[in-house]
Amino acid sequence: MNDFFFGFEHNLLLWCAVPVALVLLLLYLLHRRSKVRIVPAIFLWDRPQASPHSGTRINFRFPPAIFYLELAALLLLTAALAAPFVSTPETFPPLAVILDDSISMQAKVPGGRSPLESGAEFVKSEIRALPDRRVLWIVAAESPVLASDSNGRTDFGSFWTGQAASSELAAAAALARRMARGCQLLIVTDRKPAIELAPDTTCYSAGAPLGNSAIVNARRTAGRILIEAANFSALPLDAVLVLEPGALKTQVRLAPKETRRIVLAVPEAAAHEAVTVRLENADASANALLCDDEVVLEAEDDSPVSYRVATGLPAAARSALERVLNGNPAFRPVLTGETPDLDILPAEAESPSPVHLFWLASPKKKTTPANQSETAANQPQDNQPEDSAPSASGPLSPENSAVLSRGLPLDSLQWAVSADDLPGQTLLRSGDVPVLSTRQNLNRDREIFLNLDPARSNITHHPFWPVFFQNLAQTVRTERFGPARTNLRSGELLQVRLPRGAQSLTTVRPDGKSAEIRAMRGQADFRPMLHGVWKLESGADKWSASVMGLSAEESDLSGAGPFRRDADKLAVMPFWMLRPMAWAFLLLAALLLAAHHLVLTRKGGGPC
Amino acid sequence: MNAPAAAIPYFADAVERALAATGGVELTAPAQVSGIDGRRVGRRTGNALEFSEYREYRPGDDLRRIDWRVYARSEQLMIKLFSEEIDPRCDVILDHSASMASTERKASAAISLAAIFTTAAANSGFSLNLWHAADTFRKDPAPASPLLWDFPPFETPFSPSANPASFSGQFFRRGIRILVTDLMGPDDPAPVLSRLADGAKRAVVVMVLDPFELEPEPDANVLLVDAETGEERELVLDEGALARYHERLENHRAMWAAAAMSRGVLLLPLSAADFCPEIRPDELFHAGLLK
Repeated sequence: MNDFFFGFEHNLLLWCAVPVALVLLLLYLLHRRSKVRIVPAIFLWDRPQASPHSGTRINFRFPPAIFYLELAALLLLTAALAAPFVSTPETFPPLAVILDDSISMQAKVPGGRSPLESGAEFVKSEIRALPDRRVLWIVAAESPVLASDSNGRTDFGSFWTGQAASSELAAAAALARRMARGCQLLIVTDRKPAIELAPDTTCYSAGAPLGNSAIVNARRTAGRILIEAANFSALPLDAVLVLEPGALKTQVRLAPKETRRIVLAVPEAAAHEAVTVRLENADASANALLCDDEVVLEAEDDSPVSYRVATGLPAAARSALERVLNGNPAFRPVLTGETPDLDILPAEAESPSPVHLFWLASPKKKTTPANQSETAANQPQDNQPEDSAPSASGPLSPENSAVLSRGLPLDSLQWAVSADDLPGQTLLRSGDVPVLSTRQNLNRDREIFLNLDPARSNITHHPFWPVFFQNLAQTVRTERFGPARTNLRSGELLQVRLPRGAQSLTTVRPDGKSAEIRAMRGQADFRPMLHGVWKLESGADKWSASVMGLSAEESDLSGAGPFRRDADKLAVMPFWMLRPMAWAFLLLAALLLAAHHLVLTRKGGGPC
Repeated sequence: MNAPAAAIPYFADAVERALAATGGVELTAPAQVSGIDGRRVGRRTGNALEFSEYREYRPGDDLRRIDWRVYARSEQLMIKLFSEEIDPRCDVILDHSASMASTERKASAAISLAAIFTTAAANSGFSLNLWHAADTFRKDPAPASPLLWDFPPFETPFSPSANPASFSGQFFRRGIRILVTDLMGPDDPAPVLSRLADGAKRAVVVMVLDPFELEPEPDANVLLVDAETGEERELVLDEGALARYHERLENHRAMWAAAAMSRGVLLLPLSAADFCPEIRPDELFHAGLLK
């Protein structure tokens, strides 16, 4: 198979670039056209043929060599833009190695070998058999990742660690087919894949159905920890759950294949710290996986919401706020010099806080008759509740999907509106009039609009009022700067809201490697994969988030087992390998330009 | 007759500049001896009736002109000289070949020079003719009024030297003849110079060239086009090409200078830059043409 063919990846671009090249050529020719001088006696000037050393004649019907050099360089550069390639025949198609990166690949009995170690050895032997073959390395984790595309590489230990909570082999196979059409697949896993294997797919599994005990789920909330412990072995399990700090121990007895939920109380001293829960199994032979025996849970941010009330609010509104905020442990007044979490303002205004509550508390103005004095119309409205609009315009209907309006008691609540409309998404409406709405401004600040005249409402004596502020506290906590969640599973999206002006977020992985993530509109999003505690920094602000690699499916090793399937036949067939050739065009263009320069230098003058 | 001068946009400007710069300037006659009526007379003595002066006898002088009465009184042989009266006449000939307008500055300078000479001649009371050496050799009807000249454009495809037969013999006898040209023709200068000098009391060729023609600068590709023949040459004006041009130009001028000297014709090379846009006629005064 010695044939090959040549083509352009972007034919359309080539055809678009040709007119551009022609225009450039035209400009070139115009630029190089001779200036016309009228002379009275041309017989005094050189005849072109009679100029041995200088006064070179230039005839554009026969351009000089320089012209052709520049023309060729221009055409080569144009062609390089169109991504030329040469398609060469290969003896073998590329090999896509799909590496199962789930935690079950680390399972092993004491002194034994894990499926990852066995698989690595098998892969190396396969690569060595065909050293010049193109190999695509695809890590099958929660989502597949093309880790490398090279020939003969065997140092895959840097990206194949067996840390993922799951492995999407089907997605990885699809990625491989897309990246290298016609490639063969080699899947390295610890059990027979659940996907259908194509004839050209080799599969190798060195797993074994081992017993294992594991924490398969964990959650921390409001001073409590919910743990799901599982016994995936065939024998009953007597284990101990250890909570650090404090080394609080809880005895657990699990029947074979049993999964049990256990609630642990977080010690008061560790209420605002990370805690570690460890499942200790005395029988090491019944615990093939160690990485799923321990989980770190960061403290949820439940500190009181600092608030600030603007002096411009009407007296009735300030009084209603004092009634609900004073003594509420979820709120505290802002300290001097501190940026509040919540700013309560009478109208839309700039504020450094992440949440603004705009309370439209002044009653609606009545239409002033023409004969009524302006002075009377401008009287302070706090003192004129009897002149205001009706207290409510219809039944109250909430939007229950939002945290802010969830579970609000509305029975016998009298609502008096102060405005006819509100901006943003309506969360509560009285008849056709929005009375509570929310939106995010361009700085990602949460803006909440409350359309309520407290002087003509019974709201301050109604259960609505404290429940609403409890929802508000919960909303404000989620809008604070920092990670939206402090405990998450590997592969889940972590959103980190950055303080005003911060441009990037620095992440430090559990293994110490750091990376910079650029913020978009004050927020940095990423998907942490490695288990453990991630440190997050932005300027002077520091947070942490715990990434858990828990998975009942991966901890259950009963489905693991050895499996070997070879491709039906190693394809000794013509396979066309596309090799980009733009570099050759660029190199040739550079050589031509260098020759052009040499020609000019030999002329001993400037461009002629 | 139409008014071709209107087709030359810079004609009026050139004439007005010349008139403004030469107010009161007069043309210099070959010799100036005050006559009884203020008319110019020649330096060469002859058979005219006007007595001029005495001088000592020199061998070869005509013995009939010895004044014996003076000899009787002083015993010195003195010759009685008589002034030869010449006509105060002037012919100004302007070359209308296309090469005269190779640049606008050169054409303006040529017009200005013709206007200066005609004005100066008129100021001096000369009988004046202005000749346009175009396709045909013709006399202007209003030579002393430059703004009224019937002025053909500079489009004649040959210079006067290429067609000496057309160089008219209708000039004033024994007058001053001034040819304003660039001498940029490959032809033999002898015929045209002979015709110019024949019968003239004084013949002058004013050679006006553009600075580009005198000192061309190096340049990249230049397409040179001959103003009269249209012949083209595409050259790179590097130092070598310019040096050879200078050499040929000097040879050409030397050929004309030699031919002019042998015929008693004064050759006066001038730069168009001295007459456009400003008139600086110092060279004309130094050469004794104007006073």
